[in-house]
Amino acid sequence: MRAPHLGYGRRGSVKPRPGEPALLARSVDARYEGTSSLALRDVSLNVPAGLRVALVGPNGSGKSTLLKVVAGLLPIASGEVRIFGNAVGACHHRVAYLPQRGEVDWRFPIDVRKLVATGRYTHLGWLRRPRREDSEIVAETIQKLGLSDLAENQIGELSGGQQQRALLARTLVQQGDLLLLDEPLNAVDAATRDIISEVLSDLGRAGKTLVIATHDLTNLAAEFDGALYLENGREIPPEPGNFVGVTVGREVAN
Amino acid sequence: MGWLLEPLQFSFMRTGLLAAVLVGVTCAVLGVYVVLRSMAFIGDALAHTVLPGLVAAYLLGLNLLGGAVVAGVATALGIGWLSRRGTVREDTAIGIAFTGMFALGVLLMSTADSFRDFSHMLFGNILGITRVDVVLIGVLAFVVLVVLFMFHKELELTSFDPAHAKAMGLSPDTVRYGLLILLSLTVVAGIQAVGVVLISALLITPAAAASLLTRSLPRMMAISAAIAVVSGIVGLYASYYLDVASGAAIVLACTTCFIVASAIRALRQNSAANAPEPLADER
Amino acid sequence: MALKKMAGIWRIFGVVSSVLLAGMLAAGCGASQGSDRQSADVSSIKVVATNSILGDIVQNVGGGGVEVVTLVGRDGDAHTFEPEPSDNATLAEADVVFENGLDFEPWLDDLYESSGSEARRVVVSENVDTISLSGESDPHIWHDVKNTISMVKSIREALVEADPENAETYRSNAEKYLSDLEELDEEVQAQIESIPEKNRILVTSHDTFGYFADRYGFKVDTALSSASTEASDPSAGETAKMVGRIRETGVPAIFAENVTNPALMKAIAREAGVELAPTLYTDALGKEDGEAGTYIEMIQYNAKTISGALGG
Repeated sequence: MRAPHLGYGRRGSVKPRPGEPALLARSVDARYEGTSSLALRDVSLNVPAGLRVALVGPNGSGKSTLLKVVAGLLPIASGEVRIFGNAVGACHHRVAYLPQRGEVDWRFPIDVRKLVATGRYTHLGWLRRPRREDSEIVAETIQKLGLSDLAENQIGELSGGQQQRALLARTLVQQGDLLLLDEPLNAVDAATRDIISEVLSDLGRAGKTLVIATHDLTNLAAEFDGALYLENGREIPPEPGNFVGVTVGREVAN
Repeated sequence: MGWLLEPLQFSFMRTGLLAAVLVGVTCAVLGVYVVLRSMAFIGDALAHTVLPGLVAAYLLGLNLLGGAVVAGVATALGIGWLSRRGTVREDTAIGIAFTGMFALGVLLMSTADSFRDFSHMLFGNILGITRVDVVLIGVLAFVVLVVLFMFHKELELTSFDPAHAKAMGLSPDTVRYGLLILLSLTVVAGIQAVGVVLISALLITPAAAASLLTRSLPRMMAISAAIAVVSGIVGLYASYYLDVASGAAIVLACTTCFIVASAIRALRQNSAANAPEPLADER
Repeated sequence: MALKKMAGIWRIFGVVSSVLLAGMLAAGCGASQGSDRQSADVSSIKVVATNSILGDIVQNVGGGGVEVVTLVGRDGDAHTFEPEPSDNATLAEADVVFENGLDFEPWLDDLYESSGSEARRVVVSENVDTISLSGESDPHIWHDVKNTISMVKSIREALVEADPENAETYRSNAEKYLSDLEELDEEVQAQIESIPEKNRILVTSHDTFGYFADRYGFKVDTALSSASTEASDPSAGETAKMVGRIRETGVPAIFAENVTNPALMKAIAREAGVELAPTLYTDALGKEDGEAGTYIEMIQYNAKTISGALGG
């Protein structure tokens, strides 16, 4: 006897619209609660399904803010955001978001397996508990990220790189089609970097849409199809010689 | 064994023990969330803010528990609302609500003829608990524990990573409101046992002690509940044999457990420090 | 902006408190403590009585022409009484202040002094033979009707002296009231005689019935004293001992006074297998139109309740 399916939020009520871009943002302004200045100003972005797009810029340029807006963590002040043709929040289960490590309370008494399993909740909703298929997905993903030996460890016992892999594992088990990754390679060890890079190329090959914030300009051309350059919350033209690829910014979004 | 059975010949002891166990387990399990989410101050505040509800219900001749539930839930929603708007810092909002409501309770008391009916609201009245009260406490405990069980995964997730929950469409605010309501129901049940002043000890101390002993949430809840049950029983027996106030004895038994847990933890850390570090931190 | 939000908070408090206060006032619980003006039509002298029992007795002697104001009101608790500013004014305007004495009103000296009152203070217990209660004189003299008769005489003399013009009125009021009290005394005795002798034990929480017991042939057992509000909350051990003592006395009922923790008393009675008798009136009258609205009604009620509970 399984509990009735009661999804979180408004998920499930809206079907994805075929032919729409995975992510479309038009003239988005956003600000953090309690602040008066805008963290994003008039930012536009068009990411067709299956593309890998880099959000490039220094700290405080608005990369994380843009990802948060798309993930539904920050309301927009003006403009419009559509995900597979629907409003933000209408298809949470197709979007998976990787936050920066600092947003999690690592002292909380749960183990790595549990942390990763919370990624499945998006498909469970209220009342339902993870089933065997969920556990299998979790176990496979943990193995893929080289965390099998640490699966029963409390999350605070992990090193920074291991924590980053655990969070990425959680993002992967959501099996989303649009992945929003906030600096997945920031301050990690070499082993972690290799594992994560491998996972990211697998995702690209699998046809997932990736939007990845990064401040690392090397290798952009090899790993991405397009890039959006941000500074002080605005889109800026790339400096000469920097990777451009497919145009994803204002020109194609509006 | 005679000394163990002797107090049980009194029905007020049997009723009191039952109430102490019911309240203890509920407070201890919920208390784990209170401690992990750093909500200790809210627990204390809620305990104080149900006072005007209790007094108003008494003055109007209504059921005291009913009045307390209404006041508790109202405050829970009020605190949630104030802190969600983010206009004043949460601890400030709680401080305002807490002292204001407590003062309102005292003011209402002062309009009554005397404090005589209220002293046991402040300090508990576990020996005077009636069977009807125990049934009500039992129902409250059952509701709280069942809801905790059903929504465990949401409570857990929003406790350590509210942003992830929100990204999945699970509103941390909704969960928080729910938790505050459960907290107020628990506080109301607990006030019968140890009173407004000491109830937050039952919420916090067993859970805090358990958090020193394990890093697994289910085990933490089990240890916390066990500490609460043992403290309730030991406290009441101490009250029987040593002639000391029952509510205070229960709370002090919890405090003793906490001190023991701290000592165990210190011993463990000492022995761990001598052993090789199992995990190198790269940062 | 912050100011506006603070205003929002206060609005919530305003709403909550006014709802609660309105509900309370609607239920009529608002004003039983504090000054209780009983009569004010043809006022010749102004008189203050410290408590509602004394107020009723003084009113009976003074009649309609005397304005009697009581400080501790009906259902009030003299032990927790805290004077309000209006009590200062009441005392300042008074011609005569009647007090029980015997340390029943420890707050009166300060209040009298701070009010600057020049009223004459009359201690109505001055001619009463007191009994001892834990080393001091027991102030609860009115539970013996004989003592009240003595109080009435003191009150009569004081009123005559303060207001000689109306001396005749006071004398005739007192005479009528004294005969009512004699009748009451006999009535109580008759009521008590119906109780089987072995049951004439008052198990109470608080030592207020010493004079009553002395006069009407009772033993007082303060088995429940640790359940009084003046003691701290009883421990489980004390509660068990109380239950044991009640069982030893073999009485069919125990008496909670209007100064105890009712839930605990019920639990103790249930445990000991005895009745918890309806609450007796000790230090204050009940509601004006209730079962103990006057001193005489209060004594009748107590006697009837005691005899009913003890098999009389």
